[in-house]
Amino acid sequence: MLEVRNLTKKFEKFSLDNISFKLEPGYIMGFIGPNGAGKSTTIKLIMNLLKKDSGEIKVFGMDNVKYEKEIKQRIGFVYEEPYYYENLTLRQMKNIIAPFYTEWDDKQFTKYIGDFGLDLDKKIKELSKGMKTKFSLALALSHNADLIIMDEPTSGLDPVFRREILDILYNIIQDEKKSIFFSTHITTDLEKIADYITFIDKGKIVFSKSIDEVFDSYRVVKGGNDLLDWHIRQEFIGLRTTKVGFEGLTDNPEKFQKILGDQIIVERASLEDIMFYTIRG
Amino acid sequence: MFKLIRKDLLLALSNKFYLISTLLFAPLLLFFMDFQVNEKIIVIIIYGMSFFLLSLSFYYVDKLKPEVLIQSLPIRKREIVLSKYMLVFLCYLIGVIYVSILFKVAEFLGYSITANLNISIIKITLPLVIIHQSIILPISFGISDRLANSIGTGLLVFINNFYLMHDFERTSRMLLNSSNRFSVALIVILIFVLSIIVSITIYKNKDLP
Amino acid sequence: MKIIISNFSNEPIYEQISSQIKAMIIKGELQAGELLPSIRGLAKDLRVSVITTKRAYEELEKEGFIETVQGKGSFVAMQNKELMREKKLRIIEEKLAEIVDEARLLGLTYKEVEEMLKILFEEG
Repeated sequence: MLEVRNLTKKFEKFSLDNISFKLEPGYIMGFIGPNGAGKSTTIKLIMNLLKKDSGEIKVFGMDNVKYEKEIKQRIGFVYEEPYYYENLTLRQMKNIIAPFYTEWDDKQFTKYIGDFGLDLDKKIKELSKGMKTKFSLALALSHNADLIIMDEPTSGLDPVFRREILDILYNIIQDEKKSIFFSTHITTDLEKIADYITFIDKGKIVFSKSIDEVFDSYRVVKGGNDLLDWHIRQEFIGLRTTKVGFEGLTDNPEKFQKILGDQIIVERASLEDIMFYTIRG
Repeated sequence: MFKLIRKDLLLALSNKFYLISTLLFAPLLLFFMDFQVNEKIIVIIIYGMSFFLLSLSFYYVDKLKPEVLIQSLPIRKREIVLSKYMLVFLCYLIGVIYVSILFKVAEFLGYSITANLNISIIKITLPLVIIHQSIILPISFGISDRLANSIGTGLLVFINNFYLMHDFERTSRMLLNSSNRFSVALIVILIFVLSIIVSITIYKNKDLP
Repeated sequence: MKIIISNFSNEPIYEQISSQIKAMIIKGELQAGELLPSIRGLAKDLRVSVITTKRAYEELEKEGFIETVQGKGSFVAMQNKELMREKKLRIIEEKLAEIVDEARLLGLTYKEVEEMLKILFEEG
């Protein structure tokens, strides 16, 4: 459904280097990475808001530039920054956007607006960030889009809102023909809902795997500092030491079990652990 | 494409303050001059009005962000460019009709009009507006709206002053000379089309900052 | 039907799901032919990835506990009574082996273990 291959884009101080990943229909892919890693850039490239330097981007099997219009008919998007004409009302904004979509479903839209508790006659500038995001979501979901692309949709929202949005996403994904691509740095959201995780850092893909694989491969190892010799230190992907012990990430827990056995605690790693230790080293 | 024009009109209408100022510009000016106008004044009014009408949809605080929205919709960049160029004609038409109505109303109210809107005025203002926009639209697509708007306003003021101060007898006669009209039209159309091509090329290759 | 997963356990979630369903089938709480929730529905209810529930179901299918019919869903497979009994016997054997190991470590004799077993049987 979404296929990115060897995508490269160079900027003055930053470049996206050979990005590749694939998302099949029916699944949710979480796109994680620290701020500045290249998440928004990648999404902008997919949406053709930026011109790529090299590589391939295919949506629904079609080149994203050549078939831009057809593809965008079937994409619903939610971005982080507000991008509406602030002086207009929600209704006016909808009236500008809706005609562009051949499969606009006004009933669907009205239902979402009702569910979200939005007032169509309010001006956009009067809305809180959470409400704006919900509005974006209502628009994105009301034209039978097959691919929902979201760039940090939950940042700045309180946990209640975030749960609500995740619930909505769960409902969408019950349809096996739809996919969701969702970038965020709030990993706890993804742990609940994502099927695949693509991790990007400094413009490079660290990994792109199913969530089971991710949790299977990584473990957090904790133990006393006396156990740390040079050898052991090398085995960690990332390590943090304190006065009372160490904590580190490994993708080879068996080795640790063999060497250190009982002296350590081996635990499931959270996405946040994986991100933190991979970046920090 | 028409949906885009519709969006621009919707935006223009939502800008109540500027909309009203634009609409009042002509009647106030005419009123102060007691409708004792000559051709030049009418030219200036129409030229100015077209420009202001076009600016209405540009006049947006932080237009950058909505640009993200428009470019994410199922539209080709080419269509975005073309719609802006079509808008030029629409705004011109609105300007002309508006001013004509003003004159009719003035006549009805008893004012005596010294000069009137006739075809020769259109022959002067239409090319003027077309060329003006042909210059600033590529700037708006290539660099920024704000810059284009500033340059546009500057150009408007400059040309109006120039026009008022000098006598364009010879140029007017040349423009209005019917045997010249094809070459004039051709040049104007050429400039317009060139501008469109430039705009499309620039816009297609431009990254959204 | 009850499936409760722990996000904090070291046991992978798909395993938690498959073992709980397995237990329900073995105990008879889930009858042969009964329709299981769809993998997507289950994923939503448990708030996990559909990949996780898919894997759980695949494991169950591999071990013969469920059958998946394309387009219809997953059903509890007809459990061969003999097979079930064998499976249960094997579980008991494994547990007994554990007990024997522990007893040996402690230095208990067979007689002592037998005593304990007798008491437990009489209690139950």
